[in-house]
Amino acid sequence: MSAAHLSCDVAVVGAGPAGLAAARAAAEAGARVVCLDAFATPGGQYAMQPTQAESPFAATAPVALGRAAARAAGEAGAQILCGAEVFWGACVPGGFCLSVNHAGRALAVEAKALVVAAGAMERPLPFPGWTLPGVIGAGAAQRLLKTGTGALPLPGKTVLAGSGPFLLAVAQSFAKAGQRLDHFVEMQRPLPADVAKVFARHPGKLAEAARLGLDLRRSGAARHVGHMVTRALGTDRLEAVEIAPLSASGQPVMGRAREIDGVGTLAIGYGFQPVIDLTTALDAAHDFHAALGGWHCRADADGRTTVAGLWAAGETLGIGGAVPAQLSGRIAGAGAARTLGFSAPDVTGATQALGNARAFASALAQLYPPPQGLPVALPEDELICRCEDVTAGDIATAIAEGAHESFAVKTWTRAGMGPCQGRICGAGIAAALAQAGVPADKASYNRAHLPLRPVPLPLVRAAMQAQTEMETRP
Amino acid sequence: MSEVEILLDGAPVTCAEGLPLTEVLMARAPFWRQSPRQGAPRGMFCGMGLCFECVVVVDGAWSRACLERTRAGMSVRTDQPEDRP
Repeated sequence: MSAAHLSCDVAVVGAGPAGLAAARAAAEAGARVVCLDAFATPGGQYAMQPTQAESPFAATAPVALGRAAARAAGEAGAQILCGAEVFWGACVPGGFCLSVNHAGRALAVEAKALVVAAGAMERPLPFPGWTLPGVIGAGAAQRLLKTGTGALPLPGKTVLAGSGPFLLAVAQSFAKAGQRLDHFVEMQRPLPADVAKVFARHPGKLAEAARLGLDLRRSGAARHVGHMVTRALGTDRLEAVEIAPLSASGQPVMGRAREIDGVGTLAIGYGFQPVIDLTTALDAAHDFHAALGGWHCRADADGRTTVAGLWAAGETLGIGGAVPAQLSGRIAGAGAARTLGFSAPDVTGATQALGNARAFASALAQLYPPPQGLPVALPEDELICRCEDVTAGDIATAIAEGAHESFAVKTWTRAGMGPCQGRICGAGIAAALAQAGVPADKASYNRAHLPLRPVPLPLVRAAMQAQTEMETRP
Repeated sequence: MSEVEILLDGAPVTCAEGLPLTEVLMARAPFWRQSPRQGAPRGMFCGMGLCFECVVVVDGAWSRACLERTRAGMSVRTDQPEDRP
């Protein structure tokens, strides 16, 4: 197998709100743009497109936004490739080489500049029973509702739990889909005075927030505020969920724990983390801020990272939502094109709007601070790494014996060496290290390695051959 | 909604076209894989292509069920060792 070749001025990784805005801005400036996305349709997570014509989500604003953004980028001349998963990126003379699994075939994309808008993923925190089938991410539940028939496939009660404003959006998706939601378990209840303060500063967001509250009521769920899930119970699948109220110091009061039985689906989420595999592989500098979802790519106001020619946009720069994503995408796309000599439009307006949008996101993050430690102490035999079946006890032993960084824990225990490359266990390992007294910024992160996503070996070989040709040609 | 027939571990199953394959698999059972060392049952977790818990074999090739869309005639196997890279 040899790799297909594509050559462009600006490659954009990710066709969500940020990537599509970047692709459009760069293409409008006259650059040849290729925009790659692993999913079957553009839109990313926020603007994911339904697969069923009669989906209750077909006429929603995010779906329309995704469709319009993809059309605008296409009309500007950007080439959008879906089903195209980037599994490696390298600096080569004159730019970058991206290795892509394009629907099972190797594709090498050569670009003079690169905009990474890889988005975010849920930040999974392990808790007792979290590997039982039926326990899924809150985002996974939303994805099923939005892209499937609109009914969750598992029988039994449905529980939505965790922390953060995204849970309200998922509850809204339940209401929209007409899917029954039985219990809503929320760690925090922000003080009304604090909520009022945020919306006094951002009144444009008030209608959306009010609708979220109404839709949660419409979902019919029993609401457990100031509670958390302390255990998922079952033998070969989820059967029951244990919840407990939180004390003033944020610890679950186990004496007042209760069980919800007959549960088929527990959708649980503790916020989001930026997807940084490609930017870490390219050796860009990253910073840690809990309110931004933890480790994120460092960039200046234009989206320029610490690697020449590499730009970042959207959640790769820190969790902020769709509005900052679109604005930062436009800014980075225009910046990348301008640096290559194209006359990109002025983005001063977008830069000002981005400041305001980020301020709202950060105010929201303060209302719902993402938990940094493990929500519940893990028994020794509970798994932290699902790929390699590495337990909390294995990891505690490694830390006690001197593994004081994520990378050391990985080499010691294999946690993070499986196909997820630490994307799923990273937050759990960081929390275990934090518990042992190693703060997140010292624990660092595991730099991604080849391949970023599992891919058949012939594709890796073909793509590496193409990369070597770019690296060594005269 | 147009319906298609797919082969699920050799047995024909009728479902809507274009659905996330995970929806069809979960309607049968919440798990279809075993974890590597403990052999514990596993099913879809992240639903967005990053955790690799929902891996199946589609038309002979390793694939994440959450990224697959149902299409006429596709053969999905969960009962064979994964050809995991």
